[in-house]
Formats: sequence, structure tokens, C-alpha cells
Amino acid sequence: MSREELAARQAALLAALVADGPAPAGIDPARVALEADALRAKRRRALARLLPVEVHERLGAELGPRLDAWIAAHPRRTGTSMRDDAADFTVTLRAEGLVPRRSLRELVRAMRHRWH
Amino acid sequence: MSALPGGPTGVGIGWRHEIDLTIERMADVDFVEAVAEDLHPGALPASITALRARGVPVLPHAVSLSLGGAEPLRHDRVERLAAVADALDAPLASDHVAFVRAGGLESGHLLPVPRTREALDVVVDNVRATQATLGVPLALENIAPLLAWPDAEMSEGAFLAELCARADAWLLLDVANLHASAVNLGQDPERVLDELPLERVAYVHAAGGVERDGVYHDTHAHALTAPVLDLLDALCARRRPPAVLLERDDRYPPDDELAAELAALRAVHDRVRA
Repeated sequence: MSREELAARQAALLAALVADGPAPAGIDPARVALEADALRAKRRRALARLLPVEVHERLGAELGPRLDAWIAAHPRRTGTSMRDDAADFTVTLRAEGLVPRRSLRELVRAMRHRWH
Repeated sequence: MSALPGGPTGVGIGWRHEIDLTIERMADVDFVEAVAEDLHPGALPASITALRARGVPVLPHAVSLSLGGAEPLRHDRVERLAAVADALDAPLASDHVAFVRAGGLESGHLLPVPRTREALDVVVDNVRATQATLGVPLALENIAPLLAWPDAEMSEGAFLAELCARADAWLLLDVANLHASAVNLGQDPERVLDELPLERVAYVHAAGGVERDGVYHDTHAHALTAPVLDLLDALCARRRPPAVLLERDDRYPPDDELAAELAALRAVHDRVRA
């Protein structure tokens, strides 16, 4: 197995875990599903921590399902930080009129304030 | 090989923003570790600076180098870790034997590497390239796997031992992850301990987790469990590591419960053995 073959196998596993790809041959599909759940839960927690307080206040109990839908539809691309992820999610909410219109700069500042 | 020169000793805890004041108030913290990606080399959190001023060593712990990844190493990430280690004046830095990105996607968490000879060559190359930039020794941590690749050619212990020897790396041995491997992959943790180069252990991680439906989840959000403390004891009986660190990342307990967990680790670490 060359570096290229290993890269392909790792990409196939990761696609199965976060992008709805098929479980790779030889790996227990039940464990793939379990790992996928774990990755989704971790990203949901990380996103929830980074989101501005106003998003939590506006969405309340609706936030969890919305985050799950966002995560399923938007696998995190290489080079996208968790902060970028949270900003993109918030921009989507703003476009739907669910949170007040603010500049991206203000949103990023709000998140940084919350986290650091 | 003796202990890592200038490396941590005693008992430490993972520094997190949510418990920064708790940690500052604790009397018995010999060192801390911070997630390297959370730190900006030019603007360290005040709490980190305060601990450093008190002489508490702060070790950077990276999670995103993807040292087990077959894609080209991200040198910008290695350089950033080097800058963080330099800003902290740290005696070593660490990351995991895992991959976190592939095919243009980020996993957001540590995924296992196939235990094959070819994959081992890839990890060795990545570790060597990282060390060439880093400027401080690198310690490699075993992960808590939920799944296994098929066609393993080596045991986890043999894989880690050969990796450390060939790349001249230190080991950050996580006993909770060792327990996870035992429960989730059915391997004998004591046999792994027998295979590991224990003289290369820079320090040890311990953390709480929970077992559900026969699968152990390394949550860092639950209390330490007896099997994890027992594994620390089994490790110390073979060769006492220089230091042990508690990782707690979520569902933070009251200060006295965290202090009691540190005391439990210290009791095992300090136990006098025949």
C-alpha cells in the first residue's frame, strides 16, 4: 500500500464518516456509524460553544436539530476552521431572517469574545 | 534512555478556558497542558501567563497535524505549533498517531491509522518532517479508537514501539485510550504495555469516559474509572512514568471533585512498589 493508496483509503473512510459515503470494505459498518455519530456530536458541541449568545437565545430548542441538519449538509472542508464553520452557519440563519443582520466582522468578533 | 530532559514531573491537568480559575486556585498542579490550536503565540491567555510566572510548565498539545495522514504534511501547522512551543518555552510538544483530514475533508477528531508496514513508513516520514521544524522533542499519543482497519500487520504496541524507535520520538501514553482499545478492539492492554518502549514515555494522559453497549467512549466528560486507574498502576509497576496528566474537556465538576481526581492519580503515581 503506497502513500497514494493509503490516502485513498483514508479519504474513503472519512467520506463514509462525514459525507454519507459507503462504509469501506472490511470495516464494521456498525462501528462506522458509531464513529460518524461521535464526530457529529463533537462538531455539534464545538459549534454550539462558538455561536453568539443571540443565536442560542433566538433558536432555543430548535438549535440542536438545525445544527444536525447543517452538519449533515456541510461536511467541513480542509482549511475551514471551527470558527469559520460557526460563522457560515450563522450567516445561513441570518439569510433566513432567524437572527438579526450583522456584518460578518461583528459576528466573528462576537464569537471570539465568547470563546477567548 | 532516561526521562526527557526538562520534561514534566508529578501530576498535571489539561488547561481549558472554562476551568482556568479553578486550575490557578489549585495548590497541587505540577504542570499543565494546553491545546496548541487554541493558543495564539503572540497573545497567550492571561491565565497561562500567570501559571508560567509561577513556574508551572505549560506543554502544547496539538490535535491537527494529522501525523497519520497520507496526504502531504501541512508545514504551516507545524510552524504554528513550533511558535506556540517557543512562546511557552516548553520542553516538548505532542500530537497523536492519527489522521484528521483526507480527500479535502476535516474529521474534527482523531481517526486511527491502519497498522500496516506501509502506513508505518508514512507516519515515520511525517514525524521526522515535523521534528525537523519543531525545535523541541515531539511526543506521540495513542488514540482511543472506535473502529479498526482490516488487515493489521502489527499489534498496536509493536506499531508504536517501532514508530518511536525509527523516528526517535517520545511517547505520550494515554491509559484511558489504552483502555478504549482494549474494550473496543478486544486487545489485551497489559500486553500492549509489555510491547511499548516505556523508557520513552514523556508523560501519561488519564481521563474519564463511559461504556455504552459494550463500547467505551473516551468522553473526557465523565469521572475517572477504576480500569483506567488500574492501567496506570500496571504501567507504574513496570516502569514509573515521570508524570501523569488529567484531561477533562466538558461537563466540568466542582473544584473539589477535580482536585480529588488529581489526588487519585497522584496516589497511584506515588505508590511505593516493591
